[in-house]
Amino acid sequence: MLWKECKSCLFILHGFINVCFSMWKWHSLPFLCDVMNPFFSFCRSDASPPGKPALIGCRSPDKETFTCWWTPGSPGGLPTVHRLYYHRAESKDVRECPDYTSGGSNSCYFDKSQTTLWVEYELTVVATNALGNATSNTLRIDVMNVVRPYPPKNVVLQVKQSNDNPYLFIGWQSPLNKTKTYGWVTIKYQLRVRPEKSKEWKIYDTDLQRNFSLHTVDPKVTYEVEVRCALDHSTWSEWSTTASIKIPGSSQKDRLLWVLMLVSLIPLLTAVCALVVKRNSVKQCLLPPVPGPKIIGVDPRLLKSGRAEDVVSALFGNQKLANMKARTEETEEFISVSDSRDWLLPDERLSEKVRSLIIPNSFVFGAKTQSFELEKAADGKENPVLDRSSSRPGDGRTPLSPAPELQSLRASKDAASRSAGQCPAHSYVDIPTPEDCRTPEATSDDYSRVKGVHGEDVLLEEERVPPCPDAQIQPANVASDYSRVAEVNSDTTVLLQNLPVCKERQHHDAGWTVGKKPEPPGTEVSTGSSTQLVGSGYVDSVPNFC
Amino acid sequence: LPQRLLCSALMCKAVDIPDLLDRASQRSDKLHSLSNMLALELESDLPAIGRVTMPRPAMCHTSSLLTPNDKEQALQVSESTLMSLARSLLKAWQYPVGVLSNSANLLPHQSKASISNKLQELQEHSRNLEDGLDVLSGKMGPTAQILSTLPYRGGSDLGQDKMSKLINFNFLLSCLRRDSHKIDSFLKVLRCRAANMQPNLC
Repeated sequence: MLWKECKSCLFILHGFINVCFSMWKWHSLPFLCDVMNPFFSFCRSDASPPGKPALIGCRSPDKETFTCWWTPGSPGGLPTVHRLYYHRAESKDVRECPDYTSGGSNSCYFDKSQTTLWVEYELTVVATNALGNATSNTLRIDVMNVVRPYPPKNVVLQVKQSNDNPYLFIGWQSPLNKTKTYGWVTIKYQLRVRPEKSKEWKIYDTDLQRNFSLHTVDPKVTYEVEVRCALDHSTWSEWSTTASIKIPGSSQKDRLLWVLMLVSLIPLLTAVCALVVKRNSVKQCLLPPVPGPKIIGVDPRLLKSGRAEDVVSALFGNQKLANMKARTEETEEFISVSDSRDWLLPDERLSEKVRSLIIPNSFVFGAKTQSFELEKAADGKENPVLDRSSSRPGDGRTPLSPAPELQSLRASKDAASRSAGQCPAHSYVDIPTPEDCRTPEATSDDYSRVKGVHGEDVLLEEERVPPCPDAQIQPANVASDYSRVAEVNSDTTVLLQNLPVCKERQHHDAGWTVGKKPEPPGTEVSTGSSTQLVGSGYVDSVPNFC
Repeated sequence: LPQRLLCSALMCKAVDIPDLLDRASQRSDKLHSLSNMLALELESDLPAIGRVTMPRPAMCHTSSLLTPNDKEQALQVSESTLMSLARSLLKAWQYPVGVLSNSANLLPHQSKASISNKLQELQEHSRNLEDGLDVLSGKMGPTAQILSTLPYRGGSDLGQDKMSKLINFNFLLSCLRRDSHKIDSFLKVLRCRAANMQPNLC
């Protein structure tokens, strides 16, 4: 009750005093305020003496000055004044803080002249308000022990290149203004680095240096860097503000690597393509086909077919002009000697096949028909067989220069053709001919009939030793030079019989055995190829057609 | 400061004063680093009561030596004086450091082994520095040769009971820390002054 009244009373008074103040100058009525002031403070419920302030600590950032801070106590509700008093340990001279503002609020700043090292200071703060004062704790400090610099300034990050490797260059500035690195104060630095996403820092000491080069950096990574410093083995400063930078991704080294890779791929691809394209020839080169058994001049594929034309072409075909000269001798071998002119028959009688078979070396199927023409030209005789037999027209029929062997060829051809045209008995090579020609009785005693051909074997009929005809009846054309085939061993071997041509002549033929002839290359006796060829059992060398 | 020839046993070589000062500074830096570590290590384990009852730094046996206490003073005082002061302080600690080193093993502290090692290292550095400064001072004039005597009156043992031992240890180390800082600062100022055209920027 009393309080409320007092309050309202004071309110009125307060208002009155305000009016007075506004009308008069403050200073002219100091006594009034001084009189009223305690009255007012007394009347306020939250008014009390100030709370005890607390000295927090001091800090010397440069070993030349220092600042101390305190926290005020509970406000007390009234304007409170804080005062810092200090004295040096040895002296009793108490002084008040010279500067309350430079260090911020509730601080005391001691400049160079006020700062003494290696001396203990005793500090106290007194908070005073209208109702009383409060003294803080006494803080004893040696400036040496409170030295702690501020963090380094202006941390700069740069990515630089060294031999195509990026490295991080870190630079900063001293928190102090002095330029000298050592003297009264010796500053040393420490920095820490980490990749952006990592939580672990890596610390590096740089001593006096204000820069640092970090080479263990990875491209495309962002790095964070902080720096701090210390003076004369003092407490470390706080870490500076974080600086970050991203190391660029591609380096020249990477680009060079890619270029090299591409360049090296091109020849590789080319080689692969070449291989693919020429795989056949590569295959042939690496894995040459193993040649199978082959008779020169005979194409086994044609023989397999079994057709007459094929057989002929196989055996006699594919003659090459180049071989002509080489086969001169063989041609001569082929030539049968005969006195009789009966052998000479007109060409018309020849069967197609005979003609085609007996055609000498120069007979070439297909494109190689030059020789025919040549003979034609040389002969003057037309040989329709040749034309017909040439199954494949040649591209250009160039007449060859007449060669001496042509004569012999011709002769042999003629002989062959003549003999073939005759009825079997007298033919040199027995060809299956129309039946009317077949006269087994007329078979020469000198011949043995081929029964059949078994693969490479020629089966001959039982030897009939025909009685010797009269010597006069003996066909003139049967040459006593011929011997019967006893056995055919292989492609190149014909065993001839010690065949008594007739009883009388037995002794004569005793010596007649022919073993394996050293065949000149190309000369072959292929008896197994066709029954058509060897009718009478006599086998003679097939002219070198190959 | 003129260059002087320094002749050791077999060979003579000219050694720069700045170079000598540089080496001395490095040695004193190491000395201070060790004393700082030791002092902090022991201080952290000292109970509050110990801190209260610990003698004030003014009681250090070297307190009577008047030395520059700020940068201006350090730059004003002559180099020879600075050298003399540094040497005096160093000499004053020769014996007490020995006492500390010997007492380390008896110290009731969990890491007394490491403390003992550090003290031995500290002693080593102190001796080396003393020798180096003797050489230096020989080049710097007569004033540098003056050594103030600062007798240690602490005795060879640091106390009978555990707490006394700890307190005394702490006190000595705090005094040592202060003096090693002084020595280091003075030598570094000397180094800066000897190497620079503008010593006032040190």
